[in-house]
Amino acid sequence: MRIDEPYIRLMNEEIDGVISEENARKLAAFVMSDPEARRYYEDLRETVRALGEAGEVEPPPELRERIFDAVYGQSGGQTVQPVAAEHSFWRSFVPAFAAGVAAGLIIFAAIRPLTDRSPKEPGYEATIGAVEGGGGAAERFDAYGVKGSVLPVFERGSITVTMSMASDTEASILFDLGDGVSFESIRSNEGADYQMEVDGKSLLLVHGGDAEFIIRFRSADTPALDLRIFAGGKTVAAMRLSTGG
Amino acid sequence: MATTDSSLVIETLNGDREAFGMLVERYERQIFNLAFRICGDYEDAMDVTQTVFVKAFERLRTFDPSRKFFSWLYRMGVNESLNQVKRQSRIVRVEFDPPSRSPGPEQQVIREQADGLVQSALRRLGEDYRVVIILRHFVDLSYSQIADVLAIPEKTVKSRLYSARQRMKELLTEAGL
Repeated sequence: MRIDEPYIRLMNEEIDGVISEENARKLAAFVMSDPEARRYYEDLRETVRALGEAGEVEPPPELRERIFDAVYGQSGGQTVQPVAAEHSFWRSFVPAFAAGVAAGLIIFAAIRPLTDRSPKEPGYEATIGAVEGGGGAAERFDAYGVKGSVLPVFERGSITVTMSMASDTEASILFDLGDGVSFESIRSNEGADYQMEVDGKSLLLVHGGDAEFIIRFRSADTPALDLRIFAGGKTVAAMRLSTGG
Repeated sequence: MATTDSSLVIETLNGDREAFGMLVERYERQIFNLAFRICGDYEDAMDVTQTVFVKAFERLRTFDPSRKFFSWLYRMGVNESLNQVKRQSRIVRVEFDPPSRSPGPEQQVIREQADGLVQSALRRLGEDYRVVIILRHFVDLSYSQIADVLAIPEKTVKSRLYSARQRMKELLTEAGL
């Protein structure tokens, strides 16, 4: 037996709570009078009850974070990334620098005894003598994927070391400061200045890529600096920087 | 007084991340459940929910403030879920039992069984029927709200919903519920 469409509509309206009082009375009378309609109505209510009991599914707790990462990761990247790309080396070097120096000092403690004893494959060893006030020639080095130049300038009360480096690999630049010499500042070729304190008698920079930088030291009357550059556990260059040649 | 969706949209457009966070908090669960019921897969529901909010954020300037935000968002949720179903239609996946709010072990078992039958029946429904059932019974929208989300007349919503319930009744009866 078919149930008339208007009554099916009323059953659904009743289930959804949008039926009028008059229609509710009309539906109740119809359902009471027709067992098949009553069964249909009860089945329909049971279906809706089953839908209601299916329950809500809990989203994973990390979903909100994923959404935020996707949304603000994208928009944030648009502003942050190009800035970082424009200043490829020095922007990344600055935070690495502080960490590198700290780590480097620890590494230094480990590598100095070895290199002091017997550098296995020294790339370049020299003593650079510079005329006070500048005018000397830069010394070049090229070994183990690291090449560049060093130009020290001695002035009264200070030593300025201009370095140019291009390295395929990470290189460590180690200055052993003589008596009366202390680190003052480092400046990149992009004009940014970095001040730092160095513990003890050494300064170590961890370098990668291409860059030019100027390091300044305060000096006593008879200054001298020992500079060593390492890459891959090998000595790329070792030189003494001093006045008078 | 609760902040309206419209003001949160404006604040989001002005760069207020917290405002967008409130919109996500307000609708994340509904969009996820909508997606889960349409897709029938927990992982897909996660992907769809994320995509919906990302798209909503990207298109926020195109949102017509004369419309309701939730209608706009749910519509994206429906479309994205249906697209996901089409994308995944040829992929056989291992079913995943989603974590749900459970009152007790016995009720949990009964509910999981019922949930499984309902989900199977939903999967066998036609797309139009499935969506209207989900919007009414899982997202708890009214006829007019469903009409707004689907951009169809309310009269069509009613006839589609009543037919969908009839079909669900048959499928659940077949399944022994």
